[in-house]
Amino acid sequence: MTVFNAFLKVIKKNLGTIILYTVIVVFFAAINSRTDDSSTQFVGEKPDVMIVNLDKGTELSGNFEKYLTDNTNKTEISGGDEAVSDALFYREISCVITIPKGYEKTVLEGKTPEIEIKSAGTQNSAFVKNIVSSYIRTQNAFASSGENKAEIIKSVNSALSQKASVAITSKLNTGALTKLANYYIFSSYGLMSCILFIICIVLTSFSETTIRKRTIISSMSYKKFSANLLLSCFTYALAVWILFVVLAYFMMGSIVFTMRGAAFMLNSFIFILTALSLSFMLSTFVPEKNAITGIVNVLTLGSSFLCGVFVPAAILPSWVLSIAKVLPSYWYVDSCNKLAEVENLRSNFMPIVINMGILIGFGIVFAVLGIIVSGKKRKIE
Amino acid sequence: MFKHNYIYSLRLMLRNKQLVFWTMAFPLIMAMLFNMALSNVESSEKTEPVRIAVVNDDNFKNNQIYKEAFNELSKGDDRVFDIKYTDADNAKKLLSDEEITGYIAFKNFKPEITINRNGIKETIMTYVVNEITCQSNVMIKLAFNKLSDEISNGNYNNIQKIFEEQSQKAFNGEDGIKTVTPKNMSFVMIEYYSLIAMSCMYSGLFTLTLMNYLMANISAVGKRSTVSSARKSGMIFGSFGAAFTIQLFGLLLLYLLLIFGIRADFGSNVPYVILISLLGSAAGLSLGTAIAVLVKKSENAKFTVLIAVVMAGCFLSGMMGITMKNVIDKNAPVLNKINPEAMITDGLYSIYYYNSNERFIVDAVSLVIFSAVMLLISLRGLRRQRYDSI
Repeated sequence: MTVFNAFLKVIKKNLGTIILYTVIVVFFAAINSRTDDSSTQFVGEKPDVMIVNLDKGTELSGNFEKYLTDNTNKTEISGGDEAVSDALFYREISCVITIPKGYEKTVLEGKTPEIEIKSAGTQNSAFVKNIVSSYIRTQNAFASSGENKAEIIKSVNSALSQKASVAITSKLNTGALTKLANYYIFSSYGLMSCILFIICIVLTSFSETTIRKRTIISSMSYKKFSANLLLSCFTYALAVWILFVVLAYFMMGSIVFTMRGAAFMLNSFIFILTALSLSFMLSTFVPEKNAITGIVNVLTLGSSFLCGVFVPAAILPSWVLSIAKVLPSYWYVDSCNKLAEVENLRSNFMPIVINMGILIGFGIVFAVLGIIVSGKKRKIE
Repeated sequence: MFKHNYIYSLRLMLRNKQLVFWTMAFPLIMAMLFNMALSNVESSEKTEPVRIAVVNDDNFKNNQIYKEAFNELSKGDDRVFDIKYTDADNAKKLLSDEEITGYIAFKNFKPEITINRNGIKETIMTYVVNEITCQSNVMIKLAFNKLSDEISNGNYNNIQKIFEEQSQKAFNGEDGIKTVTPKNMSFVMIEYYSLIAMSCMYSGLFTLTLMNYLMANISAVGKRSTVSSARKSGMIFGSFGAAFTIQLFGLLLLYLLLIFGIRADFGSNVPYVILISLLGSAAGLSLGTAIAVLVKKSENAKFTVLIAVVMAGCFLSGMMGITMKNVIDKNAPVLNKINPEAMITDGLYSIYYYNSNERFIVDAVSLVIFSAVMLLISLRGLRRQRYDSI
């Protein structure tokens, strides 16, 4: 109990750090969970666009605007030109479509109106261009064949309402699962920071020479002391893990406690074991207590950037991913991504088990290295 | 006294490994990490052809319109599709191996699409296929109208020509679209800007360390300097001058790496970039002073508090996810109005994207106010500290 109490004291002192990383993860998850749900039915992905209609009140421009609204996600950006430019820069909207003044008149004269599309040049904006182009060409074809306003609208609408049948093979609720996976992926940053930082501080505090000497002459056997310390570390890591799982439940709901949710849980549980063992190794390597913050920050931020936590693994360059394989986070994130995508969990569980095995392997290597180094250190003293 | 204290503060700081790490090495390490992680982000959002398969059975072979349309859509550099023509079983296999986005099979001349899940590529594929159906319907309708006119006029010879004309109209007609892409749209730059902001704020570690040498309730050196007869202002300005010097040197290193190594773009308004860097560093120095005064704990605890504050600021200004800054700006603007890192990041962004405007001035003034408030807080904590004996 003495050891555990001392442990609690250190935690109390560093509560701010734990709260900070927890808040960061919660914050991220809250923002992430606002994105749309997609289901097992085919639902067209709608690019976010802003529509400016300068020919308001005319039937043809109204019909065009309605078509755009149906096929895109019409977004209003308030706050003037600068807010619109900001929204474009941060990819909040893919483009701004401007329907010019005198649009209807131009169409009825048999000419092509000039539609301005202001975009960031992304794939989504190319898609929007396609939607606009398709509408305008259809409208032109009917307008030039001498139809009147009402006929044009009717013909265009009936022509563009043709839809091919779409079958979707996945029976997964990919939207909810992706959110859950993103939460677990991002939480690896929080878990790693909380565990590495606190445990390193505790272990280095206990190994300070004066404290070590006091521990050695105390009535408690060294074995018992080490066992207590280990148990305390594990209890702490477990508490952090439970905190993050409970938070997941509050933000994602019951999906956390499904079969797949359990697989995510198991994955992150193994990850905290690896993190524990890594912090043990680090504490034996770290030259002084002051260096801990630096080393922990470089490690957590570094592996988060390189392993696909902050930037999705799918868009990381392949050479970066090959480097990332030497870091435990890579295997953890890989499992999370697989868990979100794999159709049949039972028959495809093997790759995930292998990833977990690699994580445990990392844990063992870290522990062995830690034991060797700490043994050598003790001999020198 | 100024000169003496300046030189000794410089030596003090440069010998402190922890300080050198956080203020000089850490931002450089992060810059290299960013460069590795972000090098693909923007090319990944560019349009690339959607890979699909088409079931090449008799149903498809007899469908002249789709055959030609697919042929047209998979030609050239800005093609929409990369198409594999194959049989049904192989198409299924390609889809389950994620080699393709989806495949198309034809039944009674109608396309049927199969995809794995919802997504933008799937949507583009479906939309384009629908479009072909629409345009062919338009063509047929127009051609028939035209034909019945011609036939009623007694013209039977132009059937082929009419179909070609109408097909040209429906598929390749003019659309009058004018695309405008603003300059400087590279949004990963925000990451590098938040890095500059981080480096500016870490300069607080210098003043934090130096203040500890001046405060009698923290260190032995502090006791001695407090009771010495030297002028306090000389000592404080000397320390601050030294901290500012080293900070600017560290920032220069970071800029050199970012501009020449990583080729980050800071826009064309160099004086403004320098101004915001100076103001940002000043904000960092004053934040360090305030924390040194307000947090009445060990030096290590102060260090941790400052680093935590800076990291939280980084998160809010977009370092761990670029869109975060925009999300905060829209939903909780107050947070970024008091966050000096958001001011620096936003200042650099306004130079890059808007080539400096009122927004830059707001950011610059906010930084000045932030520094002033921090210094006032520090002064309140420091003034009237007179010790007769310790």
